[in-house]
Amino acid sequence: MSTGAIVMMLIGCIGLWGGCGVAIAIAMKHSKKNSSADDETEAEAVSEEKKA
Amino acid sequence: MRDQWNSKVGFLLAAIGSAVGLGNIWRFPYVAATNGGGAFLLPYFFAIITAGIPILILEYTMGKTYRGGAPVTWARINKRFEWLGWFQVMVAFVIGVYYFAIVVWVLSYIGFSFTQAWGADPSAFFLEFLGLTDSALHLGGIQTRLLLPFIVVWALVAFIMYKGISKGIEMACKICLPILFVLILILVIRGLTLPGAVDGLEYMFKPDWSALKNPSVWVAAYGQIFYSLSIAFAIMLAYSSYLPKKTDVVNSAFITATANHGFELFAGIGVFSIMGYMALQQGVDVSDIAGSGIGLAFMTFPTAISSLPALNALFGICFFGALFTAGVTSMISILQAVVSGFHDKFDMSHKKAVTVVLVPSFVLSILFITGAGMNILDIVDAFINNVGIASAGVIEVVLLTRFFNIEKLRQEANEFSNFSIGKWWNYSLRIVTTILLGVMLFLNTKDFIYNGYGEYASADVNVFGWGTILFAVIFADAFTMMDGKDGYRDLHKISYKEVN
Repeated sequence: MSTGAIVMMLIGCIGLWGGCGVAIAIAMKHSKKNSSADDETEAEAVSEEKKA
Repeated sequence: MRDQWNSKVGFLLAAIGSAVGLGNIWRFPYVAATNGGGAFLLPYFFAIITAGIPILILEYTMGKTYRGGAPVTWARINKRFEWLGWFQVMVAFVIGVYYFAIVVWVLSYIGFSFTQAWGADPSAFFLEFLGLTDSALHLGGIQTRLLLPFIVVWALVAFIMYKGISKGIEMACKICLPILFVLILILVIRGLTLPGAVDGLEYMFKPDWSALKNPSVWVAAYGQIFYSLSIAFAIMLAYSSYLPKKTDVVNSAFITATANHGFELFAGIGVFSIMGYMALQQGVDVSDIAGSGIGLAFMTFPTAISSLPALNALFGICFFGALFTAGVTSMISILQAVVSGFHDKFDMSHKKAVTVVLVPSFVLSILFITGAGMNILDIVDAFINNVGIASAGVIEVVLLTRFFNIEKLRQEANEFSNFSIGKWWNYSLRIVTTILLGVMLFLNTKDFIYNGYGEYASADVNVFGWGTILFAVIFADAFTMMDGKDGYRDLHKISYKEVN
């Protein structure tokens, strides 16, 4: 296989599969952040209820 | 209470399952190889960034904000835009009807793979299997050997559709997508380990930079992105309308696009490795063997499968099994786009909407298991894609970027997204996407008007080509004029609970 063909194949694979991997990683990171934020707000709500 | 996806992962698998279809496997590899090879990746990436992802963000934002199938979503944006929603739904309906036939052929070929029943001449076998007649208007009767797989496919699809979004489509995609990936992975590993594979990959990836001077290569890149992502024909609008409002649509669009195009690149590596092996076996050049579409799947590939050194049945089942899972996940999304259209405008339950859509689809799809089935399918497919979807896409971006406040949609998109999209998005849709889709639509339509299509008689083309477009336009008009349920156009009539 010529160098040009190998380089273009790698660019295609890294560009698309890498892009997909990064996007999924970001989504997972932020979904954890959102769910822990939700837990915090829930905990606050419970503690306020107790105070009340 | 309107159904919702159980999770974001469920939605993404369904959206990717919709985008990943037969074209990813049997169209992209050939389009790339014959439009500059590795050099094609440049316009391809450019089209993903300037059209694919922007239109996905647009449709995901519209769906989750206006919360209805295409007609209702468009009606809630502007009363006069509802027609476009129905036109997109009718385009989806037409595609859903003929898609059945292909999945029926694929299911049959999974069976033939066990014994390589196609024998020494797969081309003749396929034409005899279809009972192909000499013209689209010469039906030649229903091919009874297709009836059993036809009933099986219909039963499977109806079962999934009646179960709805979260229990039906989401569940089916959670099962089918991993299977699809494993099947293609087996084919790619097999392909790469065959003698001659590098010749196939050389043919697909060797960059011909001079091809980039040719405008048709850029139109082909935009066409591939546009048709591959299931955009502009009501599917992504319908799917995203079942999302919670607090959804990161920018990230979702990025994942859907990169997964879809990453998959077709992966499948292309498998397909051309095997083409390279075949060329070596037959002592010819890869370009003599390379093909696309129905010919690649049902004529070239069976030849390749028969010539493999071992485990021929396994690899035949892997190939046609991959086409089957890709086809089913696309087909249920196409039909759901139509079901959402009826369910959200008219006062009918989900089950009734499914029945209203499946019964006429079933009746019409019988047309495609007659002797003229493939002739009709070829013409209908060409027109509904190159004229139907292309015009729906152009009208969509023109209406939103010139007759609506696109900035409002950009802010809706950014509201719950971790990465905000800048104003480049507005200009990309308003200028780049509009021009390129417009050029694509103009060239396609002009070609059909002056040259007809393929070798078909003009009567065939007029009835099944232009006739199909007219069918979609007329029914879109009719459904637009019909009265919907009270307040269906009013966004704030939706209960707060439904939105979160």
